[in-house]
Amino acid sequence: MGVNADIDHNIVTDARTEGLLFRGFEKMLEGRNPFDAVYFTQRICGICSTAHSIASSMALEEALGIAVSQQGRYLRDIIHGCEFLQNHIRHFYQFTVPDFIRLPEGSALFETDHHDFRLPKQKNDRIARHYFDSLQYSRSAHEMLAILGGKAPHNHGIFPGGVTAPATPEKIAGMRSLLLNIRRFVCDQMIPDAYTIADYYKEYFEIGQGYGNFLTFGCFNGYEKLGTLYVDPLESGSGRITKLDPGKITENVDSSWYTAKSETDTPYQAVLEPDRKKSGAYSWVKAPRYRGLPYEVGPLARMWLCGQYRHGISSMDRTLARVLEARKIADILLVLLENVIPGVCIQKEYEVPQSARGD
Amino acid sequence: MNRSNDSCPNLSMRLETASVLVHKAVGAVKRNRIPRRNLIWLELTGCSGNTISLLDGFHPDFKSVAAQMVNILYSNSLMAAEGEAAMERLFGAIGGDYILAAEGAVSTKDNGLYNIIGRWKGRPVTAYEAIQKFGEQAACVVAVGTCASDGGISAARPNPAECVGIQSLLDREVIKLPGCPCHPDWFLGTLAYFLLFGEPELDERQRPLMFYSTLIHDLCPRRPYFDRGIFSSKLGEKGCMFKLGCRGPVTRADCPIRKWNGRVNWPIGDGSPCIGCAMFGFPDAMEPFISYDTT
Repeated sequence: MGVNADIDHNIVTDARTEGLLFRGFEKMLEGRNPFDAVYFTQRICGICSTAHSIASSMALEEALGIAVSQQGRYLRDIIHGCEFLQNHIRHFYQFTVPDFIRLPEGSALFETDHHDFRLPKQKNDRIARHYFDSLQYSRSAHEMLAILGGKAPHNHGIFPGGVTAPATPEKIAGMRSLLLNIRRFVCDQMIPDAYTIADYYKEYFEIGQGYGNFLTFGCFNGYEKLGTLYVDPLESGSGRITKLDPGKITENVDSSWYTAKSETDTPYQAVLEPDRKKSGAYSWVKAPRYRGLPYEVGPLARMWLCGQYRHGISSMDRTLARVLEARKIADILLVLLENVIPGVCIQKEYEVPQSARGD
Repeated sequence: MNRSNDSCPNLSMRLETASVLVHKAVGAVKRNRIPRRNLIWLELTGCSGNTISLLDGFHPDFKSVAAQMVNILYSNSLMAAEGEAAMERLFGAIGGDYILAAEGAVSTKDNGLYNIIGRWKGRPVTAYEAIQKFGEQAACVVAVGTCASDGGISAARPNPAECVGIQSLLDREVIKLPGCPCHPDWFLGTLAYFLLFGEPELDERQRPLMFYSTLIHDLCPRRPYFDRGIFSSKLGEKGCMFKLGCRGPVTRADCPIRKWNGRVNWPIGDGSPCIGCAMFGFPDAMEPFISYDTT
């Protein structure tokens, strides 16, 4: 990824974020056994692979008319929650913290050319210690994931119908123990660290506002017995929060290296060919639009749409929302673990029809 | 959650190979018996899953390696420097001693423009250029993961970005550590071995014998079911998953004993078949991963 910014008198007047890697997963999936998508698509990304196995499984369930049991949903969502925890801890400590905290000397990895470090030595060094402490907790989140999902990254447990292996009392107890440790780290170290950094970089609450439109497909939602534990499919354009309508999503490729039949196709209609020489284009990433407008997703969007975070919309708010979402998800996982019944696993011999469609 | 395989002393010893090697290497660096050498980790045309897997290492773990065993000069995901400053550190290594670990395949389409890994002195640096420049001069080149080793998922048919494994772009021999991702033990153990003793013993596909010598099928706890012809017809059942498409019989890796993420589980242990992710034919030759036609 790259960012190109035009700066005039210390103000960013234009910015282009560039995706600079293309592999072509959509093309690769054509002609393959549909079930393979569950494993194949995970390789889109190593830090969030679980999300792709879930999306693929859900699409296949819709296409094949497969119902998921509630127990299957709980187990699958627990695996997903573990991935979130791993992801958020690593995103905050390994990707965000080095921008604000001076890390110890002696390793080339931590050298940087910027000097805007504002925390007093004691606070700085405490968060630097937590950078290293965090490694065992994010690793632990993946250990927890693997207990149910076989391995991480690129898990095996998630599959249409739910999961491939049932929970056992031993697994549940083991996971609960790991989760409580992770949760304690999130609450006692990660969240205070984020707020400490925010105290010394207050102007980051005034920059990076974006368009202010939020969207989510829903997260830990719509359980038969438990209801919605986090957030339903919602969007917040034009100042009101309303139900999400996925049919209003289009993909704009004006500035992307693709030739398309028309400029704004829905994902299902789009037939794109990579075209690195397209004039005016600067990225492999397409520009998704909802009702023709740019929308934001992620921790801030989810926390905002369910009303749990309304402090503001900015660069620093995104970081705070992320660490708060980690705690929220840890709490949700505790609930889901309470409701898991050992020994339940529903897998069938699934048939693939001649044609089907699932989103 | 069986954390050790103490039924057979041979298997137990194999499990300890990586941690023993890393422990020795870290100790040797501490006592100045060997230098703390530079490591460059390049993320090429891939998913960075091998970096995440590295962070998931238990014994050995990433922290001890990064702080004590080697000096990591460059890692796109983990380094604090950004942009031009990061590129300075990468190009500054040329002419010096360094070990190169590369994950991800290499896109060769349009002279590599389908994968730009940075910008330096005003021009784009492609994965294609970087692997050749840094690969030829390195003291040792390790292909981490199946994409770097043999093309992997990045090169899956129809290979839109025209990806290849890194060996096809380098004249010198590369140590291949396939796996999707590569298990942290396989990488850290190989790295430690190289620091202490030089190149480990490799098979004819350039994979270290200490991790890749045995078929999953020959170590699989479900092998008695296979031998007795008791086959599962759907996922989650106890029997052998050969008829569902398990690639254990053709895949060389020690997953059945080493397992994953602190030895808590592995694909077959989770009621789903091996998909052959550590083999050179992955994914095209390993598909379909799941087939319900079990007659």
